[in-house]
Amino acid sequence: MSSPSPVDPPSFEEAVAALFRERFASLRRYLDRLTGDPDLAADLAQSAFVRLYQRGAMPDEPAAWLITVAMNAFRDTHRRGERRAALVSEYGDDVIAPAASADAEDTVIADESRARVRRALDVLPERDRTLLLLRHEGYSYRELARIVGVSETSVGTLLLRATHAFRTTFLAHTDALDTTLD
Amino acid sequence: MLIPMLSTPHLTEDARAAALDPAGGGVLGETARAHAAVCERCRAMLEADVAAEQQAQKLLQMLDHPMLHIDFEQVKAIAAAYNAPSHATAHAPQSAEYARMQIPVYADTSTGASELRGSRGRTPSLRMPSVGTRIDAGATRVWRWGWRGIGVVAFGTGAVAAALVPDSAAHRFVARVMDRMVSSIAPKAPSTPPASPDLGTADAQRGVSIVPSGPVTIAFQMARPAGMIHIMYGSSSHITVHGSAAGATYAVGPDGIQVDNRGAGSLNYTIELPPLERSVPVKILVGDVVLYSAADGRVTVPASSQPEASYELPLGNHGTTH
Repeated sequence: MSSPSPVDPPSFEEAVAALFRERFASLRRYLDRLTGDPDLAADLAQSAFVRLYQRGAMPDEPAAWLITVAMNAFRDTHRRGERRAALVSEYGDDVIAPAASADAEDTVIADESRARVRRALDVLPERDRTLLLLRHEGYSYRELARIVGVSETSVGTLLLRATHAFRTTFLAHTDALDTTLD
Repeated sequence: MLIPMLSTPHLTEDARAAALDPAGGGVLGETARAHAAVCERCRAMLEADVAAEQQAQKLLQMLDHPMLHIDFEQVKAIAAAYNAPSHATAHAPQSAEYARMQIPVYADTSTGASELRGSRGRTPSLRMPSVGTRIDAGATRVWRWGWRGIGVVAFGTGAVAAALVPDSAAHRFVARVMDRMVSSIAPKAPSTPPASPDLGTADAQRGVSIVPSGPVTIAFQMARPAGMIHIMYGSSSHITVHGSAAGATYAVGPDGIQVDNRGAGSLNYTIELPPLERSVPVKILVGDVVLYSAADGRVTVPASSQPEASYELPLGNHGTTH
């Protein structure tokens, strides 16, 4: 186990600030897609950076470290049932829809498509879901390997399978819906 | 063509995965790409993989929500408010074995947790477990409970004896001491940080979303030079106004959305609009000045008239009077 290398506070702060600029939006978007709850995603991403800042030293793989901290916090939160993953718009009852219109119809279709994407994502095993979401946030195979605990050489294959499984499941949901509607 | 890395005449799944690796995929990736260049079947498979990746990307984008702006200063402020480096080092992963290390460490955070301020303006669910503190405190707790337990037994014996003489001074004294002992050994509830005055309650309304059928005006009642408005374009037909915390009130009328932000301090707002090319005309007013207007795919803001992906505009007095 390698220990973090201490650095002078000013340079550490600069490094965290730079990492924040580089990774915060991506981390939050990943968590948003994972949880379906933008506020929870913001909480988790923010707290991961708070912990990094409090840590006082950069870990070996900062991006992977942040993901791991955020994910464990999410699991902890999920386990205690304090928050539920929202599958619908966070505004819920605040959405005020006027009389039916073409736009409203578009919105319904968009919401249904979004729900189908969510379902396709939710049926993936956690590891595959993590790989898929993080890959689309630009994480390297090396970082992905560290995060999910597999060898770097197998990341690509797992990712490829996850991608096809996700797409296939989405299309299956779509076909099922179309069949129902027909 | 000789393909030394491939034992089958066509690309395996591993070889295709290596070919798709943005970092190149090493020798296997290079070889696989070279093979796909001359093998129509493998090229088609690789193209199908790429198409699946691209489609997955588009599908995932559908899950995105509008996001409030959070800057690094907020992270520093929260870290300063809960400045306990020992907490962080106790549970932070420090090696490549992140996944295995982290799960058990976070298995129990029922005590010794300090809460973070959430982005929604209420106490968030997320806690910062002080695992190291809990371990140390556990040893101390055994010692403390041991001696206090003895004390409780001793006083309990005295209390029983005193109880035999009701209304006596000894009875009242023992009862008073017992009360004090019981209250001192009772586990204390974990303390929670004081709520920030600029944050709202969990139930406070934080925004509003409408599906417009005609031109929309979003009117903020007054300028707030310390506040910001982040304007972004979503994929739906909704128009959404979302405050960074509670404090403002939102009213929807025939012309659009009225935001009464007079008591909202330096609140920031995120406004999500439909895609510019299929949006109804939208105007954003601060007081009586136009901060933003969009119609027919054309945007007018104080700094630029060129459409951009998003805008960050101060909630101050500027723009053009309408």
